[in-house]
Amino acid sequence: MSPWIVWCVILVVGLGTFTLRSVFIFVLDGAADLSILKRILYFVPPVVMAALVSSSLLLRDDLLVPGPGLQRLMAGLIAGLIAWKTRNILATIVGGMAIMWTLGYLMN
Amino acid sequence: MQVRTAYWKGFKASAPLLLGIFPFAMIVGTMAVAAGMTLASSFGLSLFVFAGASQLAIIDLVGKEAPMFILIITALVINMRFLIYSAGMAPHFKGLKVKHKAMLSYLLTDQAYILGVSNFEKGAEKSQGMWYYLGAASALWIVWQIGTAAGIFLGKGAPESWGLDFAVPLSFIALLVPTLKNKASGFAAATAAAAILLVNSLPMNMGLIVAVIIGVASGLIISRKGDLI
Repeated sequence: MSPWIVWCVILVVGLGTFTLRSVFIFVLDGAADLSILKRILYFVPPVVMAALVSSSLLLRDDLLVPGPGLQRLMAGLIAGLIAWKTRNILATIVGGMAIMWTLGYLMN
Repeated sequence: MQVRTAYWKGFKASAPLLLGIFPFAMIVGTMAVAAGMTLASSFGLSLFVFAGASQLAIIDLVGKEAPMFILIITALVINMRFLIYSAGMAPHFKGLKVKHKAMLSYLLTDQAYILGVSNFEKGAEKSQGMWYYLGAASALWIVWQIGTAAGIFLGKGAPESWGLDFAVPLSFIALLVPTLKNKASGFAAATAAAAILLVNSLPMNMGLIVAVIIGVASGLIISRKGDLI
């Protein structure tokens, strides 16, 4: 991808994110009723993350691939357990990487 | 309590979180370089966007050569939660100068919001609370920038055989698990996870956005008012 496209994305997302962060701080005078927005946004983080996890663990070139992706899938499932038990990003990443390397070593 | 004391109190309150933020920032920096981004744009991403999950999504899509508008929409959807934080902080920042509001907004993150707002809820006075928030938020900012920079330079040296790209889905897993708070969020997440398997082949990497819409809609349908938050 050409660097200037990446820079365009960075600047537009940067500006957009700043707008999301600042809009109510600038315009809101008191408390606001955000219950509908809150209900929608409540689901955004789990849904985005679940979709990203699912596609990166289960798909390769849009196809369901068990073979080469199997050790990553198993490592991912165990990493999910680690995340659940520890609630720690670093432990999840280090644990998951260690399991993938171990499985790769055992399976080759 | 003096201004400086309030600032340092906030700064210190963020310390336990920084232990998790620093390696996460390093991963983001490493992955940006691995996805083929230049050193400058890898760092620019942290500087201008300054929001981890959306940065990872951008990096993921840059690696997949997705079109520009998909990158922008995906990142902004992920960052839509900042609207809630913005509304949550607004009453506390009322009456400040525009440039100060702008800086406090730029520094608004999940962690800064949680620390800042809980301090206000404990009854912090307006100016002290603002300085406390600024202390926490700026500590998070500094560590995020240093962490990404460290990751960018580490990423240049890591061989592909290490499979460091797997750290991206692993960090998504680490971010996903704490969001599964109840049946409704679990159901919405499972629906999105299944939906993306079907829609991922849609043109222009639209799959993620479509799966997110399906997942959020399923969550709204399954949940009843008052079940949430």
